[in-house]
Parts: sequence; C-alpha cells; structure tokens
Amino acid sequence: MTATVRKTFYHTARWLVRALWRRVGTLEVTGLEHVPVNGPCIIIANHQSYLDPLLAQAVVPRVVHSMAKSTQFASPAMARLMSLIYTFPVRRYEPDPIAVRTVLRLLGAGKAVMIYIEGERSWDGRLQPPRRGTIRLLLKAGVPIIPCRIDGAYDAWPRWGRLRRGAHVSIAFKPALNLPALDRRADREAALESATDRIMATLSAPGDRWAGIAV
Amino acid sequence: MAIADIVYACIECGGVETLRPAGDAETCERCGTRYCRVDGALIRAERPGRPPETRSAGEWLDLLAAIGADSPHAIRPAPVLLRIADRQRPHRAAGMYLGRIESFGPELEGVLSLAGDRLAVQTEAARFEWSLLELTAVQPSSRALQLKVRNGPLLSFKFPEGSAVLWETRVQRALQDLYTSLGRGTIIEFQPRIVTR
Repeated sequence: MTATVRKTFYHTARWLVRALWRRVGTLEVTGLEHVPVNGPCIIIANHQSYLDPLLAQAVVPRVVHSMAKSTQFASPAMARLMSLIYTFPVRRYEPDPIAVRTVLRLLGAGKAVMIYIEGERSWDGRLQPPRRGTIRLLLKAGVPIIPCRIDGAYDAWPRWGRLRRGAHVSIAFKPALNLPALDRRADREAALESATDRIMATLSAPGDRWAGIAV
Repeated sequence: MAIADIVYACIECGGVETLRPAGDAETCERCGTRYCRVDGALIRAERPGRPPETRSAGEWLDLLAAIGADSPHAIRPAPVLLRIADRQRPHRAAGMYLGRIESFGPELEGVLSLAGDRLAVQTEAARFEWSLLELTAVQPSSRALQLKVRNGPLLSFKFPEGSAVLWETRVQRALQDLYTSLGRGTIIEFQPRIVTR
C-alpha cells in the first residue's frame, strides 16, 4: 500500500469519525494551535474511554501516530486496520524496547506521536498514575510535549458500560512542555519525579492527585 | 461490560460478586438490590424501602474498599474464561518492523482459585497452576485481567460472573503479601514488570 493511500484512508477516517460523532454527541476542542503543524512532537493524553483515540485524532489536522496495546493487534484484520490509522503496538506486560525505538524513529522523521500516559483506560474516570517508562521516554525524546486533557468521554462510554448518546466531550490541548533531552539514564532517573509532577499536573482535573502542582 | 466490574459487592447485603444482569440493570442475586446507570456514568443503587443512592464509579470503588469488600477473606473460587498466548508473530507496517504480537489460544472454561502463593485454574480437561512468584506483570486489559509468567506465556482471565477490578486487586494484594513475607520490599509497579522498592 502506498503512503498516499494510507494517508487518504486516515484523513477519510478522521472525517467519518467527526461526522458520526455529530449524531452521538457534541464536541468542544480548544488549544489546537498548540499542536505544531510540522515537526516532531508527542501528544500525551489521559485515557477514559474508547472514544479518546477516535476523537482526539479526528480533530488534529495532521497525521498522528499512536501507541496501542499489542493485544489489540491480535487478529490479522485488526492489525491491518491499526496500521492503516498509523497505530503501532506496545507490549505493556514487559519492557518494550521496540516500541520505544519506534517512537524515537518516528520523532526523528518529524512525525507526531500520541501516547496515553496512564497506559490504559481508567476504570473510574479518575486520572491514574503514569507509566514511568513513558516519562523516561519523554525525557529522552527532547521534543515538544503537548498535553491533551479529555473530559466527558467517560460519561459517554465508560470502561464498564455501553456508548450512550447525548454526551458532551471536550478536548483541550495545552501549551507545549519543553522537557530537556536527557541522554544519560542517570539524568533521566534524577528528573523522573519532578517531570512526572509537571506532566501530570497539566492533565489533571480538580480533585486529581496532581491538581494544583505548579507546571 | 458490566456495573458488577465496579460494584463488585452489594452495598445492602455485603455479598461479593453477586450482581447479575437484569434487563438494562443489574440485581444482587442475594437481596434483590438493583443497580443501574444514570446521568452519564453514575451508578444508582435502588433498595426496597430506602432512598436510592447514586455515586460515581470512583466513589463506589472507594466505598467498597473502605468497608473491606475487597478483603482476602472473601476470596472464593470463581468461574473464569482463560486464554493463553503462547505464540507470537512479527508485525510490520509500511515496511517497518514494529514488534511481535501475541496469538491467544482458544477460550477455556474453568474455575480460578487463589490461595496462599498459588493461582490455579481447573478446567474440565486439565489443571493449570502457577506460583505467584512466577508472575512478572499484572495488567488489566479491557474486561480481562492479564498476567505474565516468567519465561512463559501471557495469561488472560475473564470473569463472566465477577469483576476484573476486584481480581486485579486480589492478585496485587496477594503478591504484595508474599513479597513482604519474603522480605522482597514494597511493590511500586505491577507493569510493565513488577518493581519493588
């Protein structure tokens, strides 16, 4: 499959998701100007629902490569679909150097990558602790980090329930965090806690553990 | 998808994993308390002769933990659907190697038990048993609980009459108790691998 066909499929899927969502609920998007039009960046988001990747990627006008759990690629048909929408696998039950290398290679080629920093959908809608490996990756990457806070998706389609109509979902992209690129492992470990607080504070809602921490 | 994943014990009678589907709601099979989804993703408990109680999923989980509904004393063998991923295949896109993907085997019906330092599944045809010390990761995945065995397969457990949230808590707690008793420290992460401090 050519790159053009893949890209056309992706943007058609984006349009389709936006069109279908208008029949299900409403959508409010703010801060899209914080997402660079070109060049490498990592968009980090909270994860409440199946809707998050669909809606967040549908509203960003450039191709966004996203990380998804490897077990979602289990069936060949699903693996093909995931590839068509620029999604790549990560093995969550063991350290996955290939997924890390894929992210760094995509960023090196000037692409945008989306990562759900909690590593899985929240059972109760609250922000969960981040995957420490992801924070280490952000500290190694040295590219703009665009926080993306998604609200309302949980009410529409919680992990334990079905999709319901009439939901209002808001997606807020925040100003970029520019973390230093730390090549040495010891430096990344030293910066891990403070980077975690900074990153999670940007994704927090009132009442979350990191809410109120100065960014 | 089920309210029982979140409300894994009945607030009225204290029965653990007693909620069963009943139309568009779920009802405790012991006392008849009805649980339904209202206003987005809130869960309401309706008990005869008492005012309804509506809480968010997080509030239900906090409440059940506070009253000890996730106590290890309440663990009983539970029906389970087990799948074992013991094969892998490479995955490529646009000519790029993107890693290896697990292939799960057939779904096996059985009964899961967790006692002492062992986890076991008894099916009609076979018995599978793992020491908790063999586990290297614990992760929820959709409505399943997945466990990685050291130098072994990825195991996926679905609970047709139970709660993946509760079983995740139980396995994590059993692991922590075992690690503590062996002087291995406090577990600070369960995935991508168990890490202690």
